[in-house]
Amino acid sequence: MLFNSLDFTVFLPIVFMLYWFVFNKNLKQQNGLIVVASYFFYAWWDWRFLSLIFLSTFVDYIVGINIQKNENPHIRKQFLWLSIVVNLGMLGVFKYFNFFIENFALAFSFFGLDLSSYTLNLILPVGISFYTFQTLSYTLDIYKRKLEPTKDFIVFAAFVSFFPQLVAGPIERAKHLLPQFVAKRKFIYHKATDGLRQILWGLFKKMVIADNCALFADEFFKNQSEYSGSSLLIGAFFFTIQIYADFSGYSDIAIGTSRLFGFDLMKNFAFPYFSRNIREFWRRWHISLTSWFKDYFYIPIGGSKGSKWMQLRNTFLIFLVIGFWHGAHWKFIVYGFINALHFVPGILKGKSDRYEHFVAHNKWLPSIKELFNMLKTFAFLVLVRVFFRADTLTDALSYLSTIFSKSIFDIPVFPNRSSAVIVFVLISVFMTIEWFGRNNEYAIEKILFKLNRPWRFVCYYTILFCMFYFYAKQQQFIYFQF
Amino acid sequence: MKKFFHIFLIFCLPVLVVSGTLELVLRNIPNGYKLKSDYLKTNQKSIKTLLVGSSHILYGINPSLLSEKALNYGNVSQTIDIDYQIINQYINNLEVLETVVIRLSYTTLFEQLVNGDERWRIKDYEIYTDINLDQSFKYHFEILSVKLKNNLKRINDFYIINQNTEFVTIEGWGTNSIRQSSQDIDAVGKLTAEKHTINDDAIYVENYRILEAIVDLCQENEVKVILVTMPAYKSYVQHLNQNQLEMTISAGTFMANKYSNCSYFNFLAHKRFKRSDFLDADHLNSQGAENFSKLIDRLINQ
Repeated sequence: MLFNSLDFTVFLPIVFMLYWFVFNKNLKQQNGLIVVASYFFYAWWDWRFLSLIFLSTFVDYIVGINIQKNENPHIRKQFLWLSIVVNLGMLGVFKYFNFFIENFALAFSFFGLDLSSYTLNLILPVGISFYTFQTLSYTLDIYKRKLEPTKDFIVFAAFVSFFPQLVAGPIERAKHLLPQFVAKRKFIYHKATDGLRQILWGLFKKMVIADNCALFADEFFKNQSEYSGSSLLIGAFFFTIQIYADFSGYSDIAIGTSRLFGFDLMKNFAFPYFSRNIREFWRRWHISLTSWFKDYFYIPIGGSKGSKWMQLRNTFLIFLVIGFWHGAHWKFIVYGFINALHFVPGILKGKSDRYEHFVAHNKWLPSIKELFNMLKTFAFLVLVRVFFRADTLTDALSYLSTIFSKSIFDIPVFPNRSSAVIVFVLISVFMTIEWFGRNNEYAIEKILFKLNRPWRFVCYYTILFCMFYFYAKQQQFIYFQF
Repeated sequence: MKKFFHIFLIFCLPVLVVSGTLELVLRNIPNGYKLKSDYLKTNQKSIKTLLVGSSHILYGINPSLLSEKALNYGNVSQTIDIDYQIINQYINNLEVLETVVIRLSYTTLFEQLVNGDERWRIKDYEIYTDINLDQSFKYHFEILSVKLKNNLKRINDFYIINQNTEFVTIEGWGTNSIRQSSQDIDAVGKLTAEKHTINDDAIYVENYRILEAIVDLCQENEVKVILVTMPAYKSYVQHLNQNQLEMTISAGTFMANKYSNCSYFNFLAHKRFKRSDFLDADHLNSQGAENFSKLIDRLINQ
């Protein structure tokens, strides 16, 4: 079920009413409702893959209890490995199997062996990369004795399948989310209205900004051979805005929906396109994933400690893994590699380029230096995003080679010039609101509080009107494919 | 909780009122679907010829030029599965029906409205006719099926500048074709042909069976079926994919050979139709429709 669909508009109020009016007296029933609603939400897309969610839930529930119960390090490790094998095994089969077979087939073809017939015709189950990582964090934390396992299967099932964040995150940590399922929930007016506001803003990002940018980005990437370098550069710009509005829009709707049910999810985006360097960008982009890899992969392999060589190795490893997490394609590996390259000078010089505060701290506008750094970072992202969006690595290289050709000086051509102008205006308005709301959880969180209620309502109606007036075409969220 | 619901309802009320008003206002705009549906119901005892198909039929055959009473039930982007539903639903009520004319265009066997970009048009059948194509909630409302921008334009056109964009005669002929296209028909022909050429023929078998079911149903009810491939301008014809075209033509020929109540006529590159007969590369204008209607009338009366 898509958040930006009519189905969800019907689904959400029904679950909300049942949750607060029918099952509000009994925590177990509320959690049970969340599990049923979440499984229904997922089954709307494809009920067959519910079995994978259930398998992951069941295995990690058992594993969690057994790791806790056993003091023998060998047995504890065996249970941990069971969890890792089941979760990563599912990912491996559904997401990476064909990639490895195809590449092995290519390698073995030099020796005359044909392995290509071993590829599987599998659909990638929506959200598999998200919920497997979420359940893995649970078993890993219990193994490290940072968390007590839950004995309540329904609580654990609700934690794994919680519908607002089931298919595209934020990837929650058990330490943060699980206790919220155990505690009694109380309806808090401000939390609920804040949730609705965040949902509205998320829908605006998705329906007005992302889906309109997608029309142009799709056209430029699909027919790249027909356009000049300048047009393709604008196509990459549109995609850069699209992916942010799409994914952060999804996260806003997920977090807002959770608030309606009395839950707090972790922040997933912190205005990443106002970052002054790539390091800052990665601290603000898809925070739940990057922090997951930092805690469960980067730090265990040494992190930023040790020799420069070790730091370089660890940096490249984490970015390659993050790239590969996005999909079984060489283009994602190259995407990760290029991002890692950006860190090399800093590591070699032994200089940390961390920023204490967000850009233009306590100021309205950035300094010239800050602006230059932001634009430089954004330009880098526009170019590196080509690897993310192109269908193949070859397409990405060809796209970039056209951008870096003489045709970059041509006047850009648009499939529909007047629509393109409108989209540019919308992007400008959007980025301006984001700029002035950059110190909030989400852009419009507090901006409108200076106004009295009628004027606030006028602003909400304007956002609603824009959502329907500039509605382009219903598109799936980009991160559903991961 | 009480406060939350109270304020939420206050917020929603204007949205609901505006939405409801928009829906009513939009439904009040005359449209061809309602007109055809009403005409079919009120004239079911006297209609002898039923014309079904897409815009090719809608603009291409004027029922008032046929000798027997006829209804043009062609609509923009109407596909063969909908043609079947219309015939299946009404054939028993059309007591004196003698002939069904169906277009067999280049795209007929390769598309269905419910799967394409034009599926928003499903709402026209759901709201204004008895044809049921999709139970989805959204297709029962104008405001949920069409973009707000387009709906506001429709309201402006009809209520503010008094211009009705639906030009349909009482017998269902689309008179949009009176207008002349200012487009370069040679360039448009190539583009349209490319747009109409499919990438995969997955739906061909299903549509072929639907076509056969129509012919079969008509045979059971002793109704004659005339399959026609409508005339198109040379710039369109020249750029058609030969394989897709051959699959279409051979389907028509096969039906005509197999069923005694069925005949097939291919007018695609008919020399009688010149530049002045076309609205664009694949649609006849009023002059072309007049010529073609006379031609069809002769075939019906054969």
